[in-house]
Amino acid sequence: MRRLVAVALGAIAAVALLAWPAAAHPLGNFTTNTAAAIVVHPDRFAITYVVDLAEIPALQAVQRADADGNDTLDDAESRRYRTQQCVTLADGLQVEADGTRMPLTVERSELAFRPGQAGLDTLRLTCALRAALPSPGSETVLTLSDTNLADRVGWREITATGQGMTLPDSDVPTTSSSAQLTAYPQDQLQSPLDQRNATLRVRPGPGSAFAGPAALGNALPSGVDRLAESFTALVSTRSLTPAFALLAVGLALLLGSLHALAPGHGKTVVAAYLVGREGSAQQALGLGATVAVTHTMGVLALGVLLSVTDAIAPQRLYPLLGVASGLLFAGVGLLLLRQAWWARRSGGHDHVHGHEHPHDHAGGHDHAEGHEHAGGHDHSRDHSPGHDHSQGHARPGLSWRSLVAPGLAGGLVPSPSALVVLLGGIALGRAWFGVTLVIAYGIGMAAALVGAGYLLVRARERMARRVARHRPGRLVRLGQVLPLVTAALVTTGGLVLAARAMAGA
Amino acid sequence: MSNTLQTGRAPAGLPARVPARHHRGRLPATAVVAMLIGLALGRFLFADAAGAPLTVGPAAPQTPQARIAALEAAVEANPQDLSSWQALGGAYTDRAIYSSDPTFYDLANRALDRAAELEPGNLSTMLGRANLSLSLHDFRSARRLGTRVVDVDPFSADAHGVLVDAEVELGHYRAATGHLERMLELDPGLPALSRTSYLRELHGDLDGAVLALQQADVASAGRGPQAATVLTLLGDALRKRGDDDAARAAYERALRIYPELAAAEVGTARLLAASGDRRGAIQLLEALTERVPEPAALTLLGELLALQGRDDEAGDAFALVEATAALQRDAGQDTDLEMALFAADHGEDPAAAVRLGRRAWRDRPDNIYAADALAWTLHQAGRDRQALPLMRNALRLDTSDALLRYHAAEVFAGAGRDQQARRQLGEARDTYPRFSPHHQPAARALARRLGLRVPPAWTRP
Repeated sequence: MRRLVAVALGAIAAVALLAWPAAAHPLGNFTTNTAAAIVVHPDRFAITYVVDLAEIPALQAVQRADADGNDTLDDAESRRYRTQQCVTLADGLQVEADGTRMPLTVERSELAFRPGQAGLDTLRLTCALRAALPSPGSETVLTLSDTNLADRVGWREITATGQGMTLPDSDVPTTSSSAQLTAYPQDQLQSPLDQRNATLRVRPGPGSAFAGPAALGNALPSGVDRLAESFTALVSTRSLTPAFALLAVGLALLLGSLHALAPGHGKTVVAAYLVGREGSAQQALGLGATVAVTHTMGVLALGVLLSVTDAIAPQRLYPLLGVASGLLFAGVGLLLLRQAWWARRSGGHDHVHGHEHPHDHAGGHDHAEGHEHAGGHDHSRDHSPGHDHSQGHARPGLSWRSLVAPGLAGGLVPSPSALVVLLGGIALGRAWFGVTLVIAYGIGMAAALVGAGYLLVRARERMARRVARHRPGRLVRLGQVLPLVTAALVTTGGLVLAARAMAGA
Repeated sequence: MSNTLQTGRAPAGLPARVPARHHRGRLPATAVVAMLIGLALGRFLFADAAGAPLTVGPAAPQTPQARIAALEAAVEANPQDLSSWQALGGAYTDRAIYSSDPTFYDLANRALDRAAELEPGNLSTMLGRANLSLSLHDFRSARRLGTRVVDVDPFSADAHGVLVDAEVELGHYRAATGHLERMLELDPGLPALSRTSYLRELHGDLDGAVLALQQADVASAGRGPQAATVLTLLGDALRKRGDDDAARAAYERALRIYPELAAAEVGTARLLAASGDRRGAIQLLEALTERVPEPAALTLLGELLALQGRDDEAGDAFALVEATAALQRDAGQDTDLEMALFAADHGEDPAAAVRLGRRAWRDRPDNIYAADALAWTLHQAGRDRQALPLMRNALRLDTSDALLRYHAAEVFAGAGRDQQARRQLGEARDTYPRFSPHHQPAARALARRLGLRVPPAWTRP
């Protein structure tokens, strides 16, 4: 079980590991491979140092780490091994800032095993290292020389990016060509990369791109990233007391809402949908709940899969889910566009007839009054016999059923930090606690979404009312244009999400 | 039998080959020979059928890794470059043999596949495939491919080289000698000389074997990995003859030329262990296997650790040998012969060792070392009577190999043939008493039982 947890934690440590089912190590069964990913921040720099040992060196490492000689690594042995190794490896990384040697400290370490060839395991050690920058905020020349494992055969990689820092000069790439030693280029015959030195000039400025798909939380804003990391650290080091459990649940709530407010993942699209469809506050709640439920279930499913098998590759799954989510949004958007188009045509007709305010539900101004039709009671009326939704020109408020698609789309892509939360719970030895945490995370997400949705709905209503009071004519135009604009927004947003997911695949 | 081959008492020697991992003592030696042959193959591949030299990449790279990198760059720059693909296939094969890392077999296969796509039926590609088959211990395929090349191009020294190796492994020593003579006529270079040395050794002519390698050493002019591998082979031959000092000097020269040559380090470790410095040998082997976890080095390390009473560590080393064998099996490499001996000496299931021995014998019918392996596994399983005819077969070339003679002595003694046992053990003692630290206690016990003089090497603690 401990081993399972170690595997599961290892699997998320680099959020999306490419599954590597029982294949030969692409670089050889004897290879020792390393990758150093440097991220320069305004006041410090962090190095994620990964060591990937193929079958034979992995077995040698286990033999050395296995102090009691029972051929398995217990928690203490594994902790001692990764801690000692990371300290040694940190010493072997010679980093200089403007010529001054900067000692690296080990922030945390992770050890994971993955099935290799012939029933043997491969080993993956990750060391998170950091050091302060001597003169924060000014231009600095950083050099890195990797003297570790110099006589071993294998892949040697260094990448460098900045967060809040630009790297005007760098002799190493920004992204890993091996996805942080999870996916070596295999389509061609190629001797391993051999990058052991890096020289970078760094200065404050907008950060360079994204460090690589495998680095945990790169899909997240850095704040959430760090929070999720410290959360996992917290969860995996403490024993479960009631106070701590409460704290953990609270943190999960917070993480969830932060995630919901972070850009991307279709939140804006959901919001646009709500505004365009003139949803009510209650429906905003419903939509938020749908997103939260979908998301929670998705995370749970993925978490279960991840902890029982290594054959699932989140890295491959994510783009697929992303594409599905984006296309779902785009589909919803197209539907809206069609409805809005019909509505506009009939609305335009009304407009020609001036300010007669025909009470036929087809008039744009009718809906612009919002509070009537957006109310929950409207909903039941919408479903009364005789109302024809499909034709669209009779734009009703927003049906509950029509919330399902965007809700599903919004929650389809499990957030990595939720996964971290779940597996953090499992790491505590209590899967149910992990589930509770994910539910809390989902509730936090829903709360943030609903809150945002509610504010948007209120803002729209107030605006509509104010416009109605002062410039009724413009209100009509607004009522006609807004659905079109938002529908277009939902469609493009969905397509962009899908394209982005596809590009990341 | 040509004059070149006849140097000593025996009917001339025949060469060795990569796949010939006959027994533990031979593992590094065969790896070295393999590398040598691979290099020869590479040289062959650099010339097209008409004999016009083709240059690939920059000036001849020194290490196998550098050579591979240069060839990879060449095929990337020009994917239609047939000769570079062929050379790359050979270089990967060398790398797999040399490093014991079976992953490179797959790469070799892919490179040769590309070459075959570019020009189906190309003889050099076929020869590259034959060499790969030898390395994977598929000797029948190697012989078939080599024969096809020789049919079209009877002047291909390298094709004759492949046939020498395949016939040796299949136990057809006469046929092997014939091909070697042809090879020596066509190109009396390092590959032919190293095979000469091995065939002489098989036929009991250790002095002739040493001589052939000394000639090869002169021919190699002390440059590059080839020279280092020749020196390592020379060191092995000298050691088997009991010339420890000369052997040590040869290994040292090899390591000066090419410091990463694992086989030379293993040889040095064997010398250290033989001289009684087990700690020194263990240190050397631990450093080596940390860098290159090579099965021969690991087996020796495990044996020495066990003799020092460090059973846990010995078990770890043996576990690594098993793991490597599992990987080799997965990569399609047949290591039954090596693993049969390993299982007989260090395994827990004598019956499993016998099964491996039977498979080795089936794959190399009439090969003396396959006969020896099966006989030895049968002996360890207490079936000396069944082992007897196999052991006689294994001795039919009168090979000078102390380990083989010791195996024979145990089998004969076990079957009640004390007279023959005494003769074989005497041979082992007089050829090279320090042949194996692992077997030393048992050899001493057997000598005492048979009333044979016990050499000092067998009385060390």
